[in-house]
Amino acid sequence: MLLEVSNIDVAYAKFSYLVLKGVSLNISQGQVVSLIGPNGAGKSTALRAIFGLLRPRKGKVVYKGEDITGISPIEILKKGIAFVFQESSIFPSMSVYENLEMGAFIQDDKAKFKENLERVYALFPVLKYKLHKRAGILSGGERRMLEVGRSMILNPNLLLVDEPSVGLSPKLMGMVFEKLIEINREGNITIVMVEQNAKQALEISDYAYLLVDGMNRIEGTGKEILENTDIRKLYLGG
Amino acid sequence: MKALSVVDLSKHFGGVYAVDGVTLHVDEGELVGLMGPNGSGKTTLFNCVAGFYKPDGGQVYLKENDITGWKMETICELGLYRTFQLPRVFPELTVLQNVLLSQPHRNESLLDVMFKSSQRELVERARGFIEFVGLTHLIEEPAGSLSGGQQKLLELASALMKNPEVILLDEPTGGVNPTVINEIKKLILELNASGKTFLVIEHNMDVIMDIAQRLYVLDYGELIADGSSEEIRNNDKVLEAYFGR
Repeated sequence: MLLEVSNIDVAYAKFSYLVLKGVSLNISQGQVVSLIGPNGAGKSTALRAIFGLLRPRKGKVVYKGEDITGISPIEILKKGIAFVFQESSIFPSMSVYENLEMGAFIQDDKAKFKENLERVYALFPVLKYKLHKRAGILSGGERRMLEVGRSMILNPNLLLVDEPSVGLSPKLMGMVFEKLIEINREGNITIVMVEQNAKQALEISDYAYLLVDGMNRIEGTGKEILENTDIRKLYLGG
Repeated sequence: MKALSVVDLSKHFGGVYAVDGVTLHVDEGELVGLMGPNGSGKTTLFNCVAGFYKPDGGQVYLKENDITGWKMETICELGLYRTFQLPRVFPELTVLQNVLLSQPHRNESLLDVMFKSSQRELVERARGFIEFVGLTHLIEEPAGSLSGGQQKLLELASALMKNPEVILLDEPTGGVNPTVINEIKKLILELNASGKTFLVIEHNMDVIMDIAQRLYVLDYGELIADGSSEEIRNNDKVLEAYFGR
């Protein structure tokens, strides 16, 4: 098992209520795994807890056999886990190149940076064409590519992606999903993503977890979940 | 009698139609829910109705008044109040001061301002609303020290101070713990029973389906469904909007 999240409880503040209540996830190397569920289910919170942005009150996060519960995001980044945020996270007044450089802020090895940069260019040629343009002038789709590209600059083994399709038109959404598959297939990079458009996410996922109200509700292959007749009830209540 | 009508309302940002030709209404004394996935245009619609944005097309009527494009202060004075997704309170002022700030000025004469003859009465009113939402024990605390749920309750008390006829609530239970959710639900139902008209945006399906008499569903800025909770739950378009297609 590459990543094991066992029975985590997570809250946003010390005396606040639990947003995640005993959530468990098992992710194997090379998989694409989706976390889906209605608004407020705790999907993004789970992703944030894995990346060390929130410290679980209870439970464990184990990566490659090592307990990484509660360690800092920088330490987690060093272990080969990268994060693509839901909200816009580019630096608009910096150039595309400088944004990519920022992604490598924990790495001093210039040769390695160059090597990884080439890999990012191969994945997103448009970034190379606009390398010295201000990131602020990029279109919505290009910004998303820059964000994904920047997360790839340390050549991670596990990519956590929070809502890749948010704010994108259906066409661009499809393209971002295609890029994620390419990253997964060609680089053998494991992907865990949170996605609103559950149907599209399930279609490209090896496995998925459906959370409701901070708890595991259904899990299975994408196909199994798509065929589950409880979906309506879980999404629309009743 | 319609308390609020929205007719063919549109609002775009650049080429993106956040609200695209929406028509809906809320009858006097009704409690209506407005649903839709993230980014479907619910809050933009609220902003157009309450005068935060000028719509690019269509009309908004408050009873018989065409209030399209009016300033929010004027709309508020006319009896429509909206709350925000994230409570907007003055953190350094006390709970009581926050509610007092929301007093209506329309009946205030120059003499009132000079001699503050109505001050005692206002404080009494404010205390009453604070008691109604259950915050009396925190009345002298700075609003910033309240939890998210308590701030939502405070906002409701401030809303009542304006004595609005129509209240737009933007996610009244968002980020609120389950105990307080039940309290907020109860208060909304109580106010509705006493005659207040509500249009409520709410992501918590169980809450909105439980309290709303009627529901509208938006997706990509367009109205895709309306009806009772039962009808909405069985609507395939609604499931598609939430689950993806």
